[in-house]
Amino acid sequence: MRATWIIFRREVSAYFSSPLAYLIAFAFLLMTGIIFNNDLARSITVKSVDPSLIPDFLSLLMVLFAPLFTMRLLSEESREGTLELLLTAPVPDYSIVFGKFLSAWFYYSFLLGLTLFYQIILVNIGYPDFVHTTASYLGIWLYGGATLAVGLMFSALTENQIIAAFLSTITLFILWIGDLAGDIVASIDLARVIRNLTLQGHYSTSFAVGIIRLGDVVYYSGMIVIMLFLTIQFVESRRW
Amino acid sequence: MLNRGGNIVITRGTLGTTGSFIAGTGLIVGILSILWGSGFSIFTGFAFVISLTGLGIWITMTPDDFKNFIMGRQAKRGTVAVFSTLLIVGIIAMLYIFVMRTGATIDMTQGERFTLSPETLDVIGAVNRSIEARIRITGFYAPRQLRLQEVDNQYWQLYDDATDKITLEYINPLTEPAKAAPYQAYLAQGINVFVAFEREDGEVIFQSTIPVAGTNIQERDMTEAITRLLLRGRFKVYFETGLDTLSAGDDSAEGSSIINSLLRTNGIETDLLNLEQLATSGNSIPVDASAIIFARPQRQLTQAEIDVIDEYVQRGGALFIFSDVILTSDSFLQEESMFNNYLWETFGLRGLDYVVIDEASSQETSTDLVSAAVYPGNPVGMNLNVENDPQSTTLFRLARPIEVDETPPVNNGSVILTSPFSWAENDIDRLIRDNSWEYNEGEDIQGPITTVAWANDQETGSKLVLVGDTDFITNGRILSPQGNSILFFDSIGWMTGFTEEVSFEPQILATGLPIIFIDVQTIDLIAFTTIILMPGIMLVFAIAIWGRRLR
Amino acid sequence: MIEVTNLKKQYGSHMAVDGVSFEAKQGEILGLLGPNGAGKTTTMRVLTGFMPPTSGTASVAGFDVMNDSMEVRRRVGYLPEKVPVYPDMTLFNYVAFVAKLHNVKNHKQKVEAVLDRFDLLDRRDKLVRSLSKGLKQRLGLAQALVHDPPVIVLDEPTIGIDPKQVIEVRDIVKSLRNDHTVLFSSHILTEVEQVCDRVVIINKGKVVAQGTASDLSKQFMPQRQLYIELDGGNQEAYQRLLRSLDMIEKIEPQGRGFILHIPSDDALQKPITRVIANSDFTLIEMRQLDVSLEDVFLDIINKGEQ
Repeated sequence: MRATWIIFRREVSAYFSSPLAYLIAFAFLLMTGIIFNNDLARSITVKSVDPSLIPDFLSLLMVLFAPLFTMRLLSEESREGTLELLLTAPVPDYSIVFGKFLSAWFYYSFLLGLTLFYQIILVNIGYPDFVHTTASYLGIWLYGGATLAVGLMFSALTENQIIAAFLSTITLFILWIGDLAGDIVASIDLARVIRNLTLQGHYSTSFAVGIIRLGDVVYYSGMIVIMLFLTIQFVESRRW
Repeated sequence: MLNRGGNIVITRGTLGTTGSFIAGTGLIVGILSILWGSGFSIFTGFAFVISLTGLGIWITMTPDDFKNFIMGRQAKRGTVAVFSTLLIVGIIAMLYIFVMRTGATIDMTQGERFTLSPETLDVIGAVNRSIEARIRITGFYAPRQLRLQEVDNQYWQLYDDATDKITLEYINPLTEPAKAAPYQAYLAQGINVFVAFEREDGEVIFQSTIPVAGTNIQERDMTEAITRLLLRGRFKVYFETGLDTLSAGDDSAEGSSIINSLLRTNGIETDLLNLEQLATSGNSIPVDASAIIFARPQRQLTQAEIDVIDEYVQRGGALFIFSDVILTSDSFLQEESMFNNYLWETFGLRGLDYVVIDEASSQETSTDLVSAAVYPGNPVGMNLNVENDPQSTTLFRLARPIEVDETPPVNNGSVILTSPFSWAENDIDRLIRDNSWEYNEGEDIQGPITTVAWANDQETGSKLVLVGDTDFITNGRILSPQGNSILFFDSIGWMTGFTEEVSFEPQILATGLPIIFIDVQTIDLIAFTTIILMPGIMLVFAIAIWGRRLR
Repeated sequence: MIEVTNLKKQYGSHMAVDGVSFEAKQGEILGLLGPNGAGKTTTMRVLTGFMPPTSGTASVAGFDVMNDSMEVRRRVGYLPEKVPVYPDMTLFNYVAFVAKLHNVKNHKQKVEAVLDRFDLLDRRDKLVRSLSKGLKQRLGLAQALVHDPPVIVLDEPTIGIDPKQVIEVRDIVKSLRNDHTVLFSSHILTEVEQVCDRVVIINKGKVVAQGTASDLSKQFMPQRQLYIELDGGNQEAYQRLLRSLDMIEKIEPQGRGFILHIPSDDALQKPITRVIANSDFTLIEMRQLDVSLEDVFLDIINKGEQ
């Protein structure tokens, strides 16, 4: 665990000293800001504020952004040769993977936290359903963690950052759009099973409407565990 | 599989490992599908077949590896990794299925939307107490409504879980069109959830079906529907038919089948009654009559008929009378007629032989009367003329005035009035001939004019709503504006006592969270901060760091 | 300190290391010499705990690389061929990171000390990406040494840097003797000759020779070479005279004289001089030609190709 912490700290400082990470943060805040203001304008006359507005948007945004956050995490290491440095240091392989994953999740949490600023604005000018929003944020935080774990896994799979990003984007997109299985598949039971395998399916009809289901929490945690486990396998495979 | 250069290389070993992966995955999926579906299914069989295929590949590609694995000797690193991964996946999947089955949840919405309110629990208590009542909730969801079903299900399941006497069933209208067919009219309107009684053997009593409104306030809609269901048979309204009244079975524009079904879908039974026959046979109006509707009778009542009505009124009956502008003699409720006088003596209300003209009416002619004013605090008019909702007014085409006795024998009052620019026109002949009118002092009555009035005898409990127009309840007119049907239904609701039983606010719902009021400056400030300032800071950091790198 | 016994490592179907055995004693600098692809890097990777052997054993400081990998890694400082640096860290932070990974106490001081030793301290807050290749190499050495490991493994540390820096690096390596056990690989022979106490020559995954430079010379080039130039006669006459000496294995005309191949452990100058003195010829020049490790090496390699 000590090693995890050391690697975590290094990766976090890498995020905060990387121009790319700040560019991503810029795009992130710009898009969420526009969405927020758009909804706000309509809420003044037409309808009430949507409590899960930002998290709902992020569930799609992370399909693109999670690969960007994670693509360098392991691909770059193996290309630069620093993975060999880590693998010959007296630290267990899992601490490398955990440290990196936690750093990505931390950075994501940081950006997510910045969007809470919008909630602060809302509290000052109206009566947002803050409790519902909390549930949605919790859901999208877990969802985000899962997307980052997927991205990390692909980053471990190949030295080529572009391929890693590409593969994770496709995978995350499938795990997002599968939520709409009902629109595509004829059998409602099959559609339900498909939905239950997707990331979005465990968010859009539960966290997004303000309900926290233990099953969804288990799903996201489980997805993270499985992805990290796979990542560790891939990292270890370099030793074979 | 990916070698050091990042290229994909496929060897026999790779295929063998892939085979083992397929074998293990197929096996796990098969087992999980058994758990999930509580039984063997085609899907399970499919999964096992795939598993065996993978097994075959594994054995033929890398037979040594397979042998080692089976005998527990050190297998290829790849195989070990594959199976340990599958093991983890399997464990997590089983945990997940298990937890999903228990359906544990935490409700985080404002006002706890996902927990049943006390009012709903009361209704469910009533269901439990009633010996015969077994309720079936039927939801028709097609695959493309799957997500809607997932959200709705969180609510509907609460009812199913609350008591054994309520069961929930989902039907896919695409795969079982026969079952959906009886509900087709509702499904076409977008209503897809229904409650009905079911028999001991589990068969649904279709005639008892009440639709559940789809307003997105799921708990209120469902509890109201169940309440209406429970009230079935408690209220019965009779349409009088012997006087050439509007026919409740008539679908045409002039018929009144819509108000008939409006009553029925709310759990109010309807039936027909022939006053003339009752009078001649010496029978009374049935005991279960919560109210009687007189939809534009065409002749005057005989004394015998009035007596039948009076007997009913004295034991607390309710009358809903629609009269219209008098164009012939011997018309129903003519000014000097017996029944009109009866109503005046008993309730302090009567019809007048005039036509109401309202020049301030916003419709095509001044004889088309939009409800200009509605008396406040009146249960009948309560939902009419809602601010900013033009649909909530009533529209009468060619109406007669109702006179309200200032010193009435019982409580009474106006419901709907015309504007101050109106009057009751005496010269009906001129109107018919030339379609013109003119206010004449002394002949005509100056407005505002009452077109709908109510009366309530607190001693006997009898009630009367007297309306000076009938057209508005015909099929062609009842639905637009919406106020017409609101007037009709709220009157019935008040007269029968139905409204008290059913009106609900299961939750103090901030359904629309209050609308925000902020000024333009604040909007701009917020926009600036969130769109320019915050992202801008990030951009500045990005450039600064990049600049540092170049140095 | 380092013991390798019949080490084999296979990648897929390719046997990168095929039965390598050698030893490094405490405090010595052992050179690993061989052409590219010989298996040097792979052997080092096994010794640093990066990958386990396919078969055979290897142990560092008494710990087996397979069973006690963590213990091995704690005791090894490793500089791979591609210097593993994070371009966007400062020098100080980078070395500190490695120090922390190795659980170094008082890492701040140790980092400063090692940066100072490699003359990088004044650049401590600069980003790694601003360093030239040579400085990166020094930085790489710094991170290998920051945790003061008993064993240091250096994979081709002088590749791709300019001559002045090459000399610096070699000096640094030489300064490590006695305090550390060093495994140093290269495909440049002169370098290994200069820096290392002993050499292990590897080709195609197998050890083809090991020992000190002179051992190897004796072992593989049991012949020395003398260059003789005579006067007062003709080539034939000289050859006849020289052939009379039994121990001369080969006579090779070269320029104005001859190269005599003689067994290396014989003090043959005297008999030759006497013979020449007793003859009618004059000795113009006689000198020994050095047999360099280069020749040994090329010879071995060439033999291996055949």
